[in-house]
Amino acid sequence: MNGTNETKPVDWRETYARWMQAGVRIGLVALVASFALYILGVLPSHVAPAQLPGVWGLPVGQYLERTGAPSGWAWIERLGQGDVLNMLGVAILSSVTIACYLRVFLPLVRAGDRILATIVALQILVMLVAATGWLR
Amino acid sequence: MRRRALAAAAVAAFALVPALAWAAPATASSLPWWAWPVLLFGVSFLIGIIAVAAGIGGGVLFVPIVGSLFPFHLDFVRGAGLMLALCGALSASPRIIRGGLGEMRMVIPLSLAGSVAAMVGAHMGLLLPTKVLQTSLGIIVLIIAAIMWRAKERESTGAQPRDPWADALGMHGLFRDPKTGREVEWHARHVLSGILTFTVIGFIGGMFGLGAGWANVPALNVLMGVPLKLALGTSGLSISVINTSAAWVYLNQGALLPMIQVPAILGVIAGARLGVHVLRILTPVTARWLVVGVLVLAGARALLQGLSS
Repeated sequence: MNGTNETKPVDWRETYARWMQAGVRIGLVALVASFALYILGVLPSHVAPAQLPGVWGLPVGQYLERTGAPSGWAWIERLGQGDVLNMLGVAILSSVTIACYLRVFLPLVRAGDRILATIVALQILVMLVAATGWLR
Repeated sequence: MRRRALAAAAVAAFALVPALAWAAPATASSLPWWAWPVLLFGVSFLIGIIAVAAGIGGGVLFVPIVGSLFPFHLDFVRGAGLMLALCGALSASPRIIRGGLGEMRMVIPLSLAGSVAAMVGAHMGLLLPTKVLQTSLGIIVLIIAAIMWRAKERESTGAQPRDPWADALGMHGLFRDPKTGREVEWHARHVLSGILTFTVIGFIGGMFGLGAGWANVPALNVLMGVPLKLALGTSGLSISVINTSAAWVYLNQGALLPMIQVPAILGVIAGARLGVHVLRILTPVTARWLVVGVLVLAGARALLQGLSS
């Protein structure tokens, strides 16, 4: 029976939008809050703000060599440092689309949209390869 | 009234940016460290205002201007430009999807090719010597200025010959303009050429951190026959996917400096809020001419820096 309480299935695009909105909010808050902790000196920093003008004109390879700043996923181990903590916000923002794609994959499969679901799966793979730093 | 005056002042200040960029030394000066993020916020704020008025993303202006005006290495400027474009696209995407202003069925296939290319471009860009990178950036920015100068976007895309790839991927539909209520039936064409174009755009965007709206919109509208407003939204959605792959490359390589990226992102977001008011004193065409002028100067400066280093 088609009653008035019949729920309309949520379109996968709306799910995608909802997840993206939540992810961006979390990411931007993390980015700004960690920057405030860094610049106000609440947390110790790996490279102090006053030292940056001496190194920010160097190519990234030389910068890492001179400062010993983390690359790859090494930042995870140094989240107690204000400037490194900022990477958490960047990582969240860079993961939002991956999470959205993962979220809509199954609804697309269930809807029988095989071509789009396959492309979504391939895209997830590409983004995960980029995120793991496997190609470094 | 106050907002209009503020917007007029911002436009005038933006027009002075290329002159400053031309005259500024590329090396660090005696300014205290905190002056640089403050100045960066100010320049990014102006970029945000004009970018909205001209209907482009901020990344294409950010990299050549900040690369010329500030003492930061191009590696970090490109990383910040990419994050800036990513944040802008991510923030706008939910509104675009809910408003029916972008088509995910276009975004998903086109972005797959674009994101692979962006990842490769980002890796290559970080391997190139600074001189080669700066010279290439100058040339690319001048080409972008030429594309923006010559681009003639179409409100109506006319009769659409059917493309079997568009049928297979579901790249067609009925677009309802939320402002006018007018409905346009559309059917994408030249899908394979579109995928190839997005591959090239993704590579350039990843390599130089430029964002991609300057090329995505003409590719979707003129080449693929997507209605202009739908092309604008679809371009924004695709940037949020394509730049994700490249952003991870910059993050993994250590090319993202909080002191550069955060003031830049906040400045552009704040500027974009005022940009809506600029539209009252500046038509999109005038704003675009202003952007082309700034790009020509910033591109020429980057080219000369690259050739003389």
